[in-house]
Amino acid sequence: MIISKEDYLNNLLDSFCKYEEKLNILSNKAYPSDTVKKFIENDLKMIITEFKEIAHKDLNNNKDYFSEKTIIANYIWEQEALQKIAKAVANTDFKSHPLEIMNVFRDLIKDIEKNDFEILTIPREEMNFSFNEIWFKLKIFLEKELNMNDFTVDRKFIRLTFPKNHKNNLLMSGIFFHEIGHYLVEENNLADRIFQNIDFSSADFLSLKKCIYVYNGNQLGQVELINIFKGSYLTNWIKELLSDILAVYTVGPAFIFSMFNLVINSTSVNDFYNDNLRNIHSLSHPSFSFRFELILKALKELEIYNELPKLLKDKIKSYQNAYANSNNQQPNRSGDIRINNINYRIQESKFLFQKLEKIISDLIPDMLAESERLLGDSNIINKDKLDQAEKFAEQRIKEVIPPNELNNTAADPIAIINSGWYAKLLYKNSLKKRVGKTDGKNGDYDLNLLINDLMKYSLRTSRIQRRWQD
Amino acid sequence: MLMDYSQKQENSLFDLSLSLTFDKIIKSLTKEKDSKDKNYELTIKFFEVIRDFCNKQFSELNNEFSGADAFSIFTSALNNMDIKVETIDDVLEEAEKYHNYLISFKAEEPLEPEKLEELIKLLEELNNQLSRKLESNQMNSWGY
Repeated sequence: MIISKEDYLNNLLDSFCKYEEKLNILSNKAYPSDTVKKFIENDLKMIITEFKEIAHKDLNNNKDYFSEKTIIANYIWEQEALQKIAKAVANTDFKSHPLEIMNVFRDLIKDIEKNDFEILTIPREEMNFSFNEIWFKLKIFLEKELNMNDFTVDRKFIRLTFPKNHKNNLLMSGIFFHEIGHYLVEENNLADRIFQNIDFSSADFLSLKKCIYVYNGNQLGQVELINIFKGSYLTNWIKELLSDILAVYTVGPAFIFSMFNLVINSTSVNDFYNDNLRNIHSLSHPSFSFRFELILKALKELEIYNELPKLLKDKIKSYQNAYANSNNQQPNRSGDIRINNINYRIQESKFLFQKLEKIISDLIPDMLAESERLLGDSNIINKDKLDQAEKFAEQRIKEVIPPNELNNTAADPIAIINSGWYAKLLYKNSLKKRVGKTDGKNGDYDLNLLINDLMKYSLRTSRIQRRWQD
Repeated sequence: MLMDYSQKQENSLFDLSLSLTFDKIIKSLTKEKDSKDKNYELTIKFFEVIRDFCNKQFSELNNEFSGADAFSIFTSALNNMDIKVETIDDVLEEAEKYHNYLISFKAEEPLEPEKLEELIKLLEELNNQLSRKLESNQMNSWGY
């Protein structure tokens, strides 16, 4: 053996000690929430102390193999489960987070999950959003496998990352609802539930064989196809589409407008001139044209699409058409996929994507039904919320008044978020005139700022009013 | 993430948990150590979620390890044992067979030596598959 057991364990112990040092630094910081402080000082420290003890014990015994406990501690370390938590806490910006929108998420998730949790907000430089749980599964694992039962924090920790430059941009908040969708899909194992509904004996599913090459004479039957497409394409696509549906079901049109804004942000000038919107299928995502079709279907399913103001309907339709008519060429790649140590080569082609689209299309009724069941009536957008949004846009934002209430009733947060988009798209010119920003030196920047300020104020005050009302 | 990303395998801690469970069952089957506790329940449930998957009923071992995951691990283990399963029905038959072996053993009914050996071999193979999954770092080469 090139590396001795002693070397290995000393190296591991060194890493644990460095981590402990980091925790000491983190525990000296001031946190607005007692839970975070308790979490670092009690729970994370308890884990690393236990890990150090495990490694130390193993170092002092004379056996030439690692103890089961060391294997577990080492695996958790290799997975960076603890490091990720420390990194999230260290990078959390407690002073400058998107408070207003976070409260909307907090209320939404609390209503769905009925459990308490902590949100750690982390600003990022890049234009991307994410939302995931980082603690609970580790806690359950440690309790079961290492009998660590003295944890003081018995709640989920959700890491929410957002682009720094868009901290206060509620017009982009629709994207977050897609990310919350991912979180809900993961926490409820929704994608597997839907994957199982595929008709694995159908001619469409079995025809996927044509797109796969098997190495070393391994067989390729129904069973192998299930394993291959569970790992690639189908499950990933189901996750994305479910997250899209959940976003549409919660925040409605605001998701579509936010999403398209992000698309504009990531389209090059060259692609713009060539009507070349990025519209390709990949291992992880179905094409945007496919997604837009489903998004529109979800809106229609809620019976709200036809109720939208004509201009907004036209806008949504134009996005869908833009993708349907995009000149973008699908790069048909091929690649190796390794499933439990067996290699398969998948050749992408028009045929493959047509079949995958067909298979997924058959699952759409299930996806819509599961999404509806998960969210429950009260969290699904409806005509009333959008009527409110329309009134807020016309009677409040257009008049530079915050849309926080209507007829002495606190505004619904989803109506507020949509009202911002309604105002921007329907009353842009009159609003600009009203605040004297017609010279256009800053483009829409001042307009966006104004709408965002009105929305933020409204989310804050309507939440307080709602508490009094309830 | 909203946009395309390069795939990186997020290995679940539950895979390790399951592997440790199988280890304990193997020890128990080989009488190295006898503990007919919750490890049996989880192992028996492992075969049951495969059975449910084949029967198109959704079930899971926890909210991150579903019947489809168990199906994948199980069929790969069978493949390594040179047991040919081509269709879902073949898998169902195999899963039921091992499920019955385990139920009998738990009920302390004597298991014929070949069956016992078969069961141990399968559990070892399942552990092999789980170890590979735990060590894998997915995404391989993709090109045009």
